[in-house]
Amino acid sequence: MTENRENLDELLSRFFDEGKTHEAAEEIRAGEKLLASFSAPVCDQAVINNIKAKIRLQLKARKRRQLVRSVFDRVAVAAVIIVLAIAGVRFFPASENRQTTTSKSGVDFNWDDQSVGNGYEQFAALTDQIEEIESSILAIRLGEYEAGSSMILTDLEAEMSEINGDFWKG
Amino acid sequence: MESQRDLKEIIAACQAGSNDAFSLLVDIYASRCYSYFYRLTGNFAQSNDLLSTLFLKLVEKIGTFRLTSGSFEKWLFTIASNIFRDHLRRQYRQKKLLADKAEELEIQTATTPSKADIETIDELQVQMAKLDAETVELLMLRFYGGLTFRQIAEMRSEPVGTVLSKVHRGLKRLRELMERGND
Repeated sequence: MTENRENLDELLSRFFDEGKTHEAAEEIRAGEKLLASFSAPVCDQAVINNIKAKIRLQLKARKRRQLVRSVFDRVAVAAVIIVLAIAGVRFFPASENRQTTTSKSGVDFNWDDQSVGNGYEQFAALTDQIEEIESSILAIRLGEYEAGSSMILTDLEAEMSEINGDFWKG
Repeated sequence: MESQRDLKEIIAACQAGSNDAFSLLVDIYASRCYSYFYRLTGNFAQSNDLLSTLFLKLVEKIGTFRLTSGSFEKWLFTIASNIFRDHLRRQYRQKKLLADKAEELEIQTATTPSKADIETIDELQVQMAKLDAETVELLMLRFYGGLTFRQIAEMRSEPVGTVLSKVHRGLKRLRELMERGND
């Protein structure tokens, strides 16, 4: 049963005098032999199976928590993108004013008007996609998706990277 | 018995969240841990509960075990020992609460051995009950936990000499009790 074979005599010699060391070692060995001669009842296989089932459930719950946490991390990234997008849209009217001012100097800024229009369209598209992700997250939280489905995360990651790419391309 | 290398691989897989690896770990250690709890409680139902608690705790804590240092058995039986102490504390509180109640309520407490417990109780269990709880736990950590005296001493923050002396005295007393019991 035990695998605790340390050098008992050497260990005992540090605490007992020479005459007692051997005697104490023999007494310990005899005692352990006595314990070994009585076998304890064996654990029921049903109990072991029950434990394994509980472990399976615990691992599943842990994976679900990790998935939700990972999705929330991505929501934070999406929030940053929204803030940046709003800041970008507000920046465009400012450039319009600049156009009026600089027009006096005779420089043509017509391309800026086009940029403003494109910016609004892109922002609307981004908002749609972010709303779609939000509804997916809500579905996960409500348990409408299978927690183990690896596709959810992959899809969300793909969408996020696509939005990121679109946004920075302008 | 699994080799140390195999065991390390299993533990690493458990840390990665593998259900199969946890099943293997249960297969390897359930029997020893169950015997440990049974010898301490002398009660089947309680041993089952404690074993279940131990493995669920193991799943929760496996990430904190460092593969590079320390013995897994020592780590596992430290958790087992803490679970048993919690169980004793809970039992003590329960008894205290029921102390004011009627006698018939005391009969229904979880500490009362069942018919199956009484039928299967062996001479060793009877005589071990005459030793103090701390000594019994030390003997079981040594025997079922397979721990060295040094590991037990570290685990309990006691000098090795003290542990050695307690185990020596405990085993000697147990042998005397068994011999007397058989006369």
